[in-house]
Amino acid sequence: MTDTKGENKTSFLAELLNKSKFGADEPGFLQKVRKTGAERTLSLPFPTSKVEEWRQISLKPLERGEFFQAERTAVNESEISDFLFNESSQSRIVLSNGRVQDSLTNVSGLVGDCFAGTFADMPDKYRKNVEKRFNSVAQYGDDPFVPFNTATFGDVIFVYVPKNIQEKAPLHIMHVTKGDATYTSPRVFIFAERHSDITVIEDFIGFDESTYFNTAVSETVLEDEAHVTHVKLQRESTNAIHISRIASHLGRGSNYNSYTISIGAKLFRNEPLALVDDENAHATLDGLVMLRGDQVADTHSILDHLKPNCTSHQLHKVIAHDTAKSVFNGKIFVRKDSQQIDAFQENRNLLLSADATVFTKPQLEIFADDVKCSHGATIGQLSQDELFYLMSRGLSQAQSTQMLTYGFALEVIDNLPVESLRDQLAVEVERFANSVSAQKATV
Amino acid sequence: MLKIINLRAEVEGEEILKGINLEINAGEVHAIMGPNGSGKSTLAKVVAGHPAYEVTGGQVLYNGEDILEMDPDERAKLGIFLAFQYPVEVPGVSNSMLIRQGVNNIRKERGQDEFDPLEFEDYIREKLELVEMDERFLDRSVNEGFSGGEKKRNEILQLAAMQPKLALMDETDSGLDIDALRIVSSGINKIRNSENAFMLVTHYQRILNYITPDKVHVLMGGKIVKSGGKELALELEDKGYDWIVSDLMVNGEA
Repeated sequence: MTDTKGENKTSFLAELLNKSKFGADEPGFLQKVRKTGAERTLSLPFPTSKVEEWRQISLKPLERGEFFQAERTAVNESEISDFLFNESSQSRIVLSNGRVQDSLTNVSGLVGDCFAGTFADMPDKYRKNVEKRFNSVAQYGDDPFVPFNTATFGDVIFVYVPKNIQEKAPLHIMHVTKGDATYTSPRVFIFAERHSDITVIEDFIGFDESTYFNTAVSETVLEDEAHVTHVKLQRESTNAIHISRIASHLGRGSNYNSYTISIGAKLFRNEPLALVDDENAHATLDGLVMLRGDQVADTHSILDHLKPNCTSHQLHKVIAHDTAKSVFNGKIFVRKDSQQIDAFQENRNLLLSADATVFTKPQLEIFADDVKCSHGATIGQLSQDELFYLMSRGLSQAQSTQMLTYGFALEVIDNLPVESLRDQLAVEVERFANSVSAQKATV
Repeated sequence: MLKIINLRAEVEGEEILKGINLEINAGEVHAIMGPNGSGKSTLAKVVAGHPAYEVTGGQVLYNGEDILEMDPDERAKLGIFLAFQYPVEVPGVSNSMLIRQGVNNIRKERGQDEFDPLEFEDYIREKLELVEMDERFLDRSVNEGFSGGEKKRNEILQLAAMQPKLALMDETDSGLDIDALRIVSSGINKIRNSENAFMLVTHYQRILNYITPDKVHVLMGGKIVKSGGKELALELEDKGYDWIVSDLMVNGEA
């Protein structure tokens, strides 16, 4: 790419960056990292649909919009009460427009040495590992959004689980956005020491039909035999643009399970990235995407098997209605000496209307010769046989559609480790399916 | 209860039913027998309202009302039940979810109170005993991973739960071993009463050793070519369907 072209295309993120201000009172370490992010943002071209990785979606809605750095705000408990999990009543962090809101935050339920909060509040003994690994996992290729996030993040949430600590309470991090034409850059860093265990739910919440732009980045570092379950719940406003990376680096014998559930946003781009970097590790990168109206969701994942004797699992399910559009590009790399890899990938798409579009591209690049890699992609409608079966039992067409849609989604939801999360999602799926069948009845 | 008059139906442009006439009254069990491809299963599916079949002529009267324009769920709510030859697997939908919704829709239609989950549990427990099924089948996805016999027993469980007036049994006996056949038949016999009626579609006479039909009809080439009492089934078992063909030819009916 030429410099002139690059300069030109960077302008959107660069402009946004240039009109933003960040407090000089933050710790020197974060200032330093922020600076590298800013420099990189300015040096990288803004992606266009001519770039292979961005071919199927248009970033025009982003470029056309005018966005401003979100101002501090506060949310009322009543505004988020529908989104809370009982299991996390004492392990919850609420951020409004990128800043921790102390009045709704409570992490008193975390066991002893387990930490979740801002850098300033973090015990000194965790600094060494954090400073060494923060911002080392998410950057990939010449993607400008991670650097932009790094240059513009608000309160970064650091999660530190020391050796042998099994944290039972799921940590619920709520990123709430309020306001129109704003942008925020939520950032989370999780460090799981040897043989520790934690579940983190990152929850992105917006209201009504407000328009805003969020880049979200989370990084997880798993030391040997650490277990981390990471849930990303994207329930932004239906006019929001949300671009994110969920990055992980897996140590020996570690177990990383990532689930992304996507309900909201007008344009959602998600890039899960798992670097399986030592033997006997396992990574799961599952996803459930529900789209209606003219929503667009694009998942570009990378599962990189850098070492032998590892396993991975990726089930990505999509339900698309109306004129919605889904893109799935699932890359699995198996490096030359990574023998005895067992990688499973499946992308299943359910189309509920004639005008919904699905692009799917499993992309396996295998350089080792003794591996087991399976992949599959299906695109289909509700089966007429299943519909007739349910209706012959006295269920209306609407009830049958709803039940079958729910059944399709359940395979992903069922694996989520938190009961009230599963319950909330069951309601979401029901609401989604009801809107589908209600619409059908009026056509 | 059921009166079929000169019913014609086709699938993908091919005519399968070529003028069926049949009358079934409350309290009766009718066996519909015939060789493969004769239209037996089609008849059951058309009465239940399968959308793949197009009715090109005739009437299906249920308690005097023509039901051919009705959706399958409306027919079910009126009391028509189809036990599938190949029960459909529905991943992610639990058996109890499906049966409870179906039962409640039907109860609502009949002006009865809907069951809450606890009432339903008590209700379905009795029905499980009828087909010797374990409770754990309720929590499993509908028919998913069930053996052939379990799928058929699950059909009878649904039949028992929904208490239809007219049950259309599509080759419920096919593929069953002798134990499963005994369980399924005894289930049907217990459900059978003077208020309801059964149409038993079968290829073999075997199930009729357990369930005694009031009438036996032979369906060939899309028409009922012979009707008789239960002894007709035995005769068919003995002589095969070829015997009917030659018999018809002698009488100049073919």
